[in-house]
Amino acid sequence: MARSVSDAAYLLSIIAGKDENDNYTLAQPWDTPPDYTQALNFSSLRGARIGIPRNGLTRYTIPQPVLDAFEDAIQVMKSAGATIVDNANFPAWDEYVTDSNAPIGNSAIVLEADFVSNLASYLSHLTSNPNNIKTVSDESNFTRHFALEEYPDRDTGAWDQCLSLGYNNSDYRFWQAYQYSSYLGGEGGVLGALKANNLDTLILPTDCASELPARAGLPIVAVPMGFFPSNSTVRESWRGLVWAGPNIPSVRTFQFPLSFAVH
Amino acid sequence: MTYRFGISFIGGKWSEESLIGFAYAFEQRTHTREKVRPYLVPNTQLGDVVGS
Repeated sequence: MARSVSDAAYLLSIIAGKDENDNYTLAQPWDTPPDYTQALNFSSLRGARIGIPRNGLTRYTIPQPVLDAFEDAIQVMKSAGATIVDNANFPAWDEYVTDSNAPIGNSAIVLEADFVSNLASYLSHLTSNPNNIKTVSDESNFTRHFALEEYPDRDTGAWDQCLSLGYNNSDYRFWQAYQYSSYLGGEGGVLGALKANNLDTLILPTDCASELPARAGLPIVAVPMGFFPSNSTVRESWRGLVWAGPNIPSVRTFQFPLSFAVH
Repeated sequence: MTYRFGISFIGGKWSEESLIGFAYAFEQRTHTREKVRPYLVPNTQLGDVVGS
C-alpha cells in the first residue's frame, strides 16, 4: 500500500529481487529487477489493449456508484488512447464460481494445507518459543486456554478448519488442488482472457479483482477510482468497523508475486 | 465482502512494469485521491520519525 503509484514504484524497486529464503522470488526471469520508476509514464495507456472481463462482475452485487465509476474509468482510458476490448471474459469462470462456492473448494485446500506446513516451518525457526508451540494444533490449543485470547469470542475456527483437512502441503491432494486452483486463476482465468484477446491488461473494480490472479500468483495494481457519495448509508461490520459510507475512498492493493508468495 | 472502491489492473507474470505504467497514467488523469477529504489526517509522516 502506498500513497501514490509513484511511491509504490519506488518501493517496489527497492524490495524486489531474489531472496533465498523465499523460493517464489527465485523464479523471476532476471538477475536484477527492472527500475519500476521508469514505467511512470503519463502516455502509457496510448496503444494499450485493455480487456474487460464482464463475467468477473457477476459474482457479487456491486454497488451502483462503483459500476458507474467503472464505466467512467473505461472512458478515461479510451480518451488516453487505449483500445478497449469488451467481454474479454474469463474462460473457466463458471467452474471458478462453483469451486469458490463449494464448502471446501480447491482454493481453500491450498490455503489451509499451506498454512499447516508453513506455520510449523516458521515456528521451527524461532530462537525462543516459551510456550513450546510447534504446530497449528498447538496454537489452537494454546489460544483456547490463554485468557487474553478471549476465546471463544475470538475463536479458533479458521485454524480448526485447516486441521480438519488432516494433511499438509506435502500431500498429493494438496498438489491436485493447487494445480486446479492455479488453472482457474491462470489459463482458465486471467491468462486465458489475456491470450485469447491479445491484451496487455484486464481491468475490474478492485472489490472483485483479486481472487482469480491470487490463485495463479499474478500481479495486480489498484488505484482509487471513486468513493461512496455523501448520502451513503454507513454500514458497519459485526465488529463495528465501517466498511461503506460517505467519502470512503478506495484502497490501493498491491499483490506482487515478485516479493510476496500469493496462492 | 468489503467494498474497496478502486480499479485494478491485472496482468500476466512479470508484467508489473506495464501495470504500473497503466495505473500511473490513469491516476494522473483522475486524481481521485485528491477529491475526497479524509475524516482523519495523520499529523505524523515517516519523515518526522525516520532519520535520513
